[in-house]
Amino acid sequence: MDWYTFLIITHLIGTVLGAGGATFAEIFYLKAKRDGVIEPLEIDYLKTIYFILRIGLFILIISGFGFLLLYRLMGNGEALLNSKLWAKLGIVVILVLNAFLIQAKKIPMWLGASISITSWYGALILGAWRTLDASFVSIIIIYIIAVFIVAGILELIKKYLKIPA
Amino acid sequence: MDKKNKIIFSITIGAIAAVIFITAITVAADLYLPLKDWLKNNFHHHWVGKSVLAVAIFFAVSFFIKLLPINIDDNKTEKVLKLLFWLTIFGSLAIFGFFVWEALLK
Amino acid sequence: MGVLSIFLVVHVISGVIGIFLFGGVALTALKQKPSFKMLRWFSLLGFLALMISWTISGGYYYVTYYGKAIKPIIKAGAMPWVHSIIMEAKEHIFLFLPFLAFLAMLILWFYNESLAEKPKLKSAVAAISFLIMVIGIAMILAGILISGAASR
Repeated sequence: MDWYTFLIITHLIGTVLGAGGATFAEIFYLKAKRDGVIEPLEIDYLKTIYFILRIGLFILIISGFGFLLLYRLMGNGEALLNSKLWAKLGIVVILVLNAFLIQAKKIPMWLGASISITSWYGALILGAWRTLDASFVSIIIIYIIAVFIVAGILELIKKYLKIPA
Repeated sequence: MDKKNKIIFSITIGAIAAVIFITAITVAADLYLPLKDWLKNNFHHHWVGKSVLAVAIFFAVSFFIKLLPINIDDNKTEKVLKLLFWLTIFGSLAIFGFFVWEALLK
Repeated sequence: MGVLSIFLVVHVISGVIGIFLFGGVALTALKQKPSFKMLRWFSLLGFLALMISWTISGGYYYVTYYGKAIKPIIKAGAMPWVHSIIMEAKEHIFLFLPFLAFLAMLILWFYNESLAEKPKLKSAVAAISFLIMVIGIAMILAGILISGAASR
């Protein structure tokens, strides 16, 4: 197995744990809030999911830098200036800062949850969509719009399931 | 607790001294080339010199403050930690701003 | 992979790990009931990782190779400002981090569980660790830009 294949596999594992974790964190959070009370067992499940999500993020970041190092050392350093890569980096930075804002309770949950989900799937799509040719600014604009669309969808889901605010 | 507080207080002052020193010598060595040459001649590389001197100042100042006969409480420790936080931000912006000025406006 | 490449890899990976761990310290310290064991070990490992990134790997790579081989390429290329602004800022601002990291680690190991009774001190550790992470992220992004500019 060469380094590139190893990094792809590792990066995918990180994505599965991270994006999957973020998805199930939101699902379990909504389920827990449905009866208006978040019980200790539900908190425990959420803590476990967040722990796995952070492991996924760690694997993703380390393997991501593995790719960047590989490009650099194999003489393909130009790839490090790619606008799609920088948009992905920007989204990952927003994802990390969002985690702090949520923990410090400095961001409303509706926005924090939306940024989390949109960031994970945004990074996933940017990584998978090899042929995408877009500028950094256009990707970020679409990302910001997507955050509010996802926030709207989550609100609709909460209303449909009659989840209290 | 008082002893621990004093150690933390001393090391925080040491860190503050290191941050101020790094910011000052970064700007000074670029503006006054004999200083940069002095660092290079004595430490093989100017950056190594800045690193070594910053560590020396950190330990020297920390040790000196620790020896002073002053009473330190939680309040004083928290204040200097806050000062360190803001000085680090200021130092980072100052260094970045200096190199922008030097590269684009000088 | 040559020896210098190994130094570059160790510099990047240890730096990223160090910054991630201090991010973990900041996030954990923000909790009402943090795991002090996690705080202590994250801060110690984070400090060691940053020291490796600073001295053994990054420092050696920078002093022996960057100035001679990479800097001229960047300065002669399409983005000379990447050296004069980004690299110059990076190599000096980075020097703040080991001192902040040492201090955060010391506070956590000194006070341990008793930090729970000192909320302001706990907040200060969270703030300093967060600052390490933010500056660290800036360092990482700068490093990617520098590596990219060296290819142009």
